[in-house]
Amino acid sequence: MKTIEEAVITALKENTSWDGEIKMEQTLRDELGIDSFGVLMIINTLEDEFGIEISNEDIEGLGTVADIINRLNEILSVNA
Amino acid sequence: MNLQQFYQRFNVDYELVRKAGFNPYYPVIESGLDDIIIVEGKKFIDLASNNYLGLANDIRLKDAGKLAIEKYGMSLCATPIASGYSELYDMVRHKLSEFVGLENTILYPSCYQANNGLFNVIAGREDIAIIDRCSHSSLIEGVKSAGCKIWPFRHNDMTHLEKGLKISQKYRQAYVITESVFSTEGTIVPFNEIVALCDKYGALPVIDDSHGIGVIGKTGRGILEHADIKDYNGIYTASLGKSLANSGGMISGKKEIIDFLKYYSSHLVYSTSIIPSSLAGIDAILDIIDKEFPERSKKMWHYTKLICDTLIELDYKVSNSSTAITSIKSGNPLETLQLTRKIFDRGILVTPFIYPSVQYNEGRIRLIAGANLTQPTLDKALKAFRNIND
Ligand SMILES: Cc1ncc(COP(=O)(O)O)c(C=O)c1O
Repeated sequence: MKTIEEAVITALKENTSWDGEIKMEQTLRDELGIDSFGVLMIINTLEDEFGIEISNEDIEGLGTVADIINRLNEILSVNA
Repeated sequence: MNLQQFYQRFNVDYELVRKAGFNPYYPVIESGLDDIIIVEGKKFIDLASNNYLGLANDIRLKDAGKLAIEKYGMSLCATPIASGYSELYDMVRHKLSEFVGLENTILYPSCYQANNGLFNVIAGREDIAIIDRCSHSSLIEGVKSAGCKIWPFRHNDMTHLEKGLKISQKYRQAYVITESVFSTEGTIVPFNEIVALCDKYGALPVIDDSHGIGVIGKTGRGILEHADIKDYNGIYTASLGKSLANSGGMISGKKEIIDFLKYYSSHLVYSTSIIPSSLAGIDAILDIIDKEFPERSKKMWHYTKLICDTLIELDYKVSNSSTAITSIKSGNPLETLQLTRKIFDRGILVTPFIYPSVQYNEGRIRLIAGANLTQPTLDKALKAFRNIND
């Protein structure tokens, strides 16, 4: 299985038109141009990858790439 | 808590408009949709409205509207379930069912309202909405209000859609939601494939045919005719304010679902009925389409091709359109407004789209040439594009 960081970066690349390097501190909307449906697509890809369910509340307040990784870490540690 | 703070939250961000030195939104229209229209005192060629068949200002529609006003007045001042349901409403909804080839239809005051109100009646938390990521705001807000799982799929990407359908099996019901002709891109849905995938996985297709009805299909009956789909078992919605040149929104499908919406859709039940003059106008336009569709659509497609070919020749990036919508990929929002300004300055009215109508940091400029335009007027518009930088 991919590491969380690898999975997030793959999901970002798969679901957005961004083809440059992805850095942790990059903001999803302003820097990577990801809208709310884009975030949902990334989350849905990650759900599939890790076999988990991520609720709408879990997605709230995600601003940067690092935020997604941190939130995913939290969810996976609760599920572990 | 104080009201001063409350009102301070509502500051429109005019930064982009300031940078572009121009605001293309809410232009004040001072005429009907003729060959030349008047916008803020100036003559314009209309490539902005969705008046595909060019019938919005047709005398026959206006006369039909006038007769309805004579008989029913401006409004029945009531919701359909109460006393807003006229014989005209009853007749027109059945005529529309026949037109698109579906069992039954109900009419909302607008298609935004129809799409927005549909999903909280039919879907709930146990369900999943698999929705094309380029879908119209009314569909997006509609599925959000249902509280179901939302699974956007890449635009018209059937492999990605099927992935969603595989995942959907653990939900009570999956809905696959899309448009026929995408309003900002002008792309067209591969609806046969979607219906086949829905059948395979037991999902319910929901199609918004707002830019397809009266435009595509051999006789203008929209996406179901275009894709030659018989016995459609999903839900169909369309605006009556585009090609059909009136206002209102229809939801059509199996009798069971329409009967249910009639009593349980709050967006319908608690909203004043679509007005009589619109109903009469829809009645009239369906008869006109029956007779004049071949000739009018021929003109519309001819104009569309001319516009598309000219823009490509002039090196514009034009989205891959096989419909009556030509959409220029106009760069970021600032570039989009700057180009729109040049086009407006040449006396051509177009529709610029920026976020959230299109993806963040992108822009589109949409052109639609209605069949009411004359060839000399269209030639003038094309010439203006050729000279845009002079
Ligand atoms: C695809 C689509 N669906 C729905 C609507 C809303 O239709 P109406 O104007 O009837 O509310 C529009 C119109 O803007 C549209 O383009």
